[in-house]
Amino acid sequence: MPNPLPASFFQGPLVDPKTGKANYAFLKWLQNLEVKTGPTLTIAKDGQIQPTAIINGRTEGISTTVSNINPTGTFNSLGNVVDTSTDHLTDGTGKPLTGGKRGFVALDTNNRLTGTFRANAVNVSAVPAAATNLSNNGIATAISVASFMTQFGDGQISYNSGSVDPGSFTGPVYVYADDPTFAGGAVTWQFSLTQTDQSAANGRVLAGSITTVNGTSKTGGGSTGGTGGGRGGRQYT
Amino acid sequence: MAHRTKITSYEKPANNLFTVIIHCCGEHEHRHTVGPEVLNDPVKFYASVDWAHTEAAKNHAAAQAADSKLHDMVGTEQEHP
Repeated sequence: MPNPLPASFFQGPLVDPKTGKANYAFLKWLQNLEVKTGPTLTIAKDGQIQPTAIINGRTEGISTTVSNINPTGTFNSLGNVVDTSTDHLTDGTGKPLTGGKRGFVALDTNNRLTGTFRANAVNVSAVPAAATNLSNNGIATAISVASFMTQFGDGQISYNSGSVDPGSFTGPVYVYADDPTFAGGAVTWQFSLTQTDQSAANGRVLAGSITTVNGTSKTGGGSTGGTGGGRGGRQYT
Repeated sequence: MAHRTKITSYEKPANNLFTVIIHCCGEHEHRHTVGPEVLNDPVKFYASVDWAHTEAAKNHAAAQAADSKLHDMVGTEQEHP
């Protein structure tokens, strides 16, 4: 049945002028109207939609369709959501979803960090494998940083060699690099004569310290501190 | 044997330090960090870079020698009591 209903009776009188009865086309139109509206609207004065009325394309009554919507037009419970994946949500103020994911990755079931490499390098224990890794020949002021491996709780990290030059024979010269992701390899070795600079950045790893003397070769850093320095790793010197 | 070095780039890590990245013979890279006392004295700076290269070349030569030695050992067999 097309919608709206065809009104062919409008081409002639609605009723037979002799009998006063409605013509066939008009009667048929009224019948079709009742078929459509009867199951859909109530006979109450305001013609409300029947709870069993079906939205085109659906099979359930409209009362089932809107059963989870409150009178104020709001959804009544997250328990009635079929697809509960948070992938459909937009992260809110403070990024609770992003933070939750990071926590899931970084924390274990006891709410502790899953491992050393989830912490900041400056706060973890580490021991260099070599006895020393800093050296100076007593002739030039530059300090050689040998490549070395450091043992952390989560594994071993190896750092490439390098060199620093404070420009004079002095000490203690504290040697360190910034490696916030425990990547190892080629790092930029830095130096300072200020002891507290060894813990002045979260990603700091320590080679140790050395005191250089004109005319005398010295070693430092590593696990022993050598002949003229302090140990590296977690133990600041 | 003379080596040709090239300062390919530099970094400024922190606290008035400057790290020059030196390449030798187009091969290995060495990072050498100096403070302003060295950087502001051209003679001192180039001497320092030259020293750094020498050390890097030594390390590189040692690494190459070890690599060569291991290469020769591949395929050899030893008897053990």
